[in-house]
Amino acid sequence: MATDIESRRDKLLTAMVRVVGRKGYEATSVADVIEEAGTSRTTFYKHFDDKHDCFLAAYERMVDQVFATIVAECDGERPWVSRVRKGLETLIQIFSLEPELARTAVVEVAAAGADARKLHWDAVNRFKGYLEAGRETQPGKELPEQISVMAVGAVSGLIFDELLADRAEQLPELMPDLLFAMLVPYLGPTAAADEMRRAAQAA
Amino acid sequence: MAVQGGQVSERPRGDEFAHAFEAAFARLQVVVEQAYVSQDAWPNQVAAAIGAAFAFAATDPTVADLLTNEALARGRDGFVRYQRVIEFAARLLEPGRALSPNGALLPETLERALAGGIVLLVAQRVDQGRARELPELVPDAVQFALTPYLGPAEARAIAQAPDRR
Repeated sequence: MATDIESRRDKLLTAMVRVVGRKGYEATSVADVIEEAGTSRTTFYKHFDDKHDCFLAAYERMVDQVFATIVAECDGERPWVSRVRKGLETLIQIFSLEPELARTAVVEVAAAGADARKLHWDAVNRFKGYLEAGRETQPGKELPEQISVMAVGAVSGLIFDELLADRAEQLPELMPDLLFAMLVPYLGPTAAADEMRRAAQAA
Repeated sequence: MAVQGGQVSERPRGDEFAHAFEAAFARLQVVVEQAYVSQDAWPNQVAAAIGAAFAFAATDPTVADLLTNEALARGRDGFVRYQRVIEFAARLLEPGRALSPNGALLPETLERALAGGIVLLVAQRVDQGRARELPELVPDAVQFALTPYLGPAEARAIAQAPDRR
């Protein structure tokens, strides 16, 4: 029974991510989410206070899942550059296969208010933390303290542009550019360009 | 009502937002372009532009919020306006390609990526009510912006110039 209840909640969270990605946060209603999930209004309100409450839970779960997938895919990768490349590839693959999820994660979250933006900044900080090990790869170089948050912003900005242009499926083609943007603040232009070339050849 | 940067402000609606955004963006462009042309060499122009933009955001976080977080909360109309802020910043970086020994190596998306990274830093600080910290972060943002063109050592030397701190 507990599993059944959990499953209904999960369905609603999945539905929220999909519908918001498709229609936009503002235009999404509880009725849309219920219909997408195939559940009842009673079930929805058993789990959530309102649309906003459901969105926050959905966003948090989505970030956890995406991050767990990235960590699982690239935790064994050494050195740091390989880990970053594998992690970025994994993220881009998820976003290209699930454009609605990508749009909710990167574009629509800003429309869901201050609480949602806080979750978004938390997600940015998780990715930032993941990149911080890059400092150790550059002994002797004094890298800016804010380097990782700007590197995350560089990549998320390019992804935002692609999603806004409805080109989520084409995101893998942008992988060399994204990798360069993420690595160049740490490695400098020559080494980052080498990695970009390798990524282009692999594609 | 919305609380931004420790201040309480009405959330503008529809046309009101569009007018407020355009006025704020025009002000930002004037401030940044004046700083940019006040310098002769391109790396110093970029450093001056970033310094002016960060000072602008620190002085008026409500306006900075309008140009970033509020625009992104507005749906397609706001997204397009936000992208104009990014394009404006990206154009200031483009001359670096011609001056850089690495120009041929650089991807064509680079300037938008760099602008996106710097604007995200501003948006985050403004949203967290920490806009007054932005002037201290100018050297970091300058080094980030110049590294792809000049390499880490030269970018850092320009970022750490005494008048940047």
